Amino acid sequence: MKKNLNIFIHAFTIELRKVFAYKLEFWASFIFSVAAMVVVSYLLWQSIFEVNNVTQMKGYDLNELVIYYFCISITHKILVSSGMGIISRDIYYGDLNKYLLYPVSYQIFKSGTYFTKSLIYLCVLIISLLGFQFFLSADLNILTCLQGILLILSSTLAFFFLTTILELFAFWAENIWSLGIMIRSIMAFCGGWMIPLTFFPESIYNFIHYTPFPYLLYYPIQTLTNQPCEYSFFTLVLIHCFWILIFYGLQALVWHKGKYKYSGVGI
Amino acid sequence: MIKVKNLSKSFKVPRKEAGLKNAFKSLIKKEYITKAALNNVSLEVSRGEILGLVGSNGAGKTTLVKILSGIISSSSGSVSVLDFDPWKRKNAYRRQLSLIMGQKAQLWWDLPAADSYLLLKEIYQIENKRFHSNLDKLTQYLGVKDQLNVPVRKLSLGERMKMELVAALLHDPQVIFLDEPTIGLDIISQKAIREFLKEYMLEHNPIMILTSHYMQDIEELCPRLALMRAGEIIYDGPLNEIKNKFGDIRSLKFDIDHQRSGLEDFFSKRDIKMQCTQNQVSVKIHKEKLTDCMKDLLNNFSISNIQTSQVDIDSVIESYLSYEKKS
Ligand SMILES: Nc1ncnc2c1ncn2[C@@H]1O[C@H](COP(=O)(O)OP(=O)(O)OP(=O)(O)O)[C@@H](O)[C@H]1O
Ligand SMILES: [Mg+2]
Repeated sequence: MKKNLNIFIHAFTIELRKVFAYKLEFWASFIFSVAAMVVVSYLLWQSIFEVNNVTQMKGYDLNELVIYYFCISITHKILVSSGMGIISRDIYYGDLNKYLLYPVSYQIFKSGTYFTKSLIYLCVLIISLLGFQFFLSADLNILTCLQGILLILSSTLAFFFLTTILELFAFWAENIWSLGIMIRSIMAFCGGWMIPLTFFPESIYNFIHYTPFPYLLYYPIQTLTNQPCEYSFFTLVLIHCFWILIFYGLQALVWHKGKYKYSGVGI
Repeated sequence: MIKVKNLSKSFKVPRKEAGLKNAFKSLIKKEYITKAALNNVSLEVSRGEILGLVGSNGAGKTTLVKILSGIISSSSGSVSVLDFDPWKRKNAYRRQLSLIMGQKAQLWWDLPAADSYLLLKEIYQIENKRFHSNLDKLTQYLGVKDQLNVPVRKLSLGERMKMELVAALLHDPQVIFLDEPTIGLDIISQKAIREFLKEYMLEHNPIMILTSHYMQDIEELCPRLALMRAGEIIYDGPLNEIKNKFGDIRSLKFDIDHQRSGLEDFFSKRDIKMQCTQNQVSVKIHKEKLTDCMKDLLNNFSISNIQTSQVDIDSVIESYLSYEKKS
């Protein structure tokens, strides 16, 4: 246990140093993607509010919508970390070979790598929340903020396992890029990344609650920003545990099947 | 102890033909061909032994090493190393194992070697004292102490390879597979690595399998040789024996200015294969026929600069690989 924690921390710091080594690229891509999302949604919603001549829709005013989009696009970054590639690249280029030789689990290494960027983004999110509280006079609450952060962390763990499942398909498929894009789009839609879920018509709203994404993305944001939320914190924690177990089990299964397909390329 | 019995491995590779039309075809239906990489290989290596594994490109050497280190599964047959099944990847086995791949860096590319070593210390749970004494000894011996804090990507190939060796041996492995450890190194570095491996062997008495295309590595390090061709082991025994088998063959070299065509007739009549480079000719002749042959040559052709020698190990193996193919 202690060994695994140490390995996790090592993998984490290695990735951290990589981020610092290529920091310009890292921040540029981060700021650009978040800023683009916030600016576009601000302009869009502003004109919607103007045309309908209202100051509030479904409980959101313009200020809250901006905060919502800001938080959800950063949280989206937290959940997907550096995106697809950390495992499939090892499989395609044979870097997996060395990890198979070590008397440590490969997943521990990779979780360290995965969580690095997530935690950096999380820090940005927390700092921005403080900014909102003081400058945009948002209606935040310290308790729900902490709950939201905890939920985001467990969502990240669930997403790490989900990403692992997808990436392990690299044992069979020669390219998993499109698979990643597909899941990413479904998640963006069902998790409320495009529009808050309350804006959906009833039938779609009901349907997407059968997917894990509202619980992993939308409701943690609702909790974080102290917006009305259909589920209590503890229900959400239970639902998270459920999905984490499912994803964990599935990735173990896929790994178990896939390792027979691995041919140790590159040497 | 390594025990391999009737080991076979085949790879399934998708058949791909060039061209756009075929690319579309393969989208709909993928065809696979099975490629046998190892065919009924049996082998035993005991502690304190270095086995030299030699064979042409694609013979299956790396595949064998990959199976022994648990990276890939076998198709059939049994494998046990130190009484472990490598494919189960037990931590108790992996703690004693080391695989050095000349082709592929294992150290973390962006980090200085010293940092990678600290990570390895954690991975293998090496105690502080043992770690520092091993690190000192290894870097001292290989002469890379000064570069420990340089990011690995900034090292030269040879320096990096030495760093890789240090990384691979920090945890005092008992089973060591070396897959072309001297590839691309200069003569001095090759020699340093060979000397170093000898030293390690004396001190730790591990099981070692070494594959290399440089015969000097094999000659200096491996008393025992296994020759592989097309996934099969066609010779397994002492290196000396195979040398003796061809010990009666002499290589003859001389210069000739003209009369080339006559020369070809001359040798083909005696069933000897001739190799030419510009105006130098070299042939391999049984030692009993050598004197006669030279007499005839001198009588019929104007040749100069004649040298005879025992054949070197390269040509011994070359002729063994082609000799067995014919029979
Ligand atoms: N990942 C793979 N997928 C499909 N076929 C493979 C794979 N790796 C090796 N092969 C095939 O298996 C055979 C043996 O390959 P292997 O790498 O063991 O050769 P080798 O003896 O190490 O050769 P070299 O001296 O060139 O390193 C080759 O014909 C090769 O094409
Ligand atoms: Mg090879």
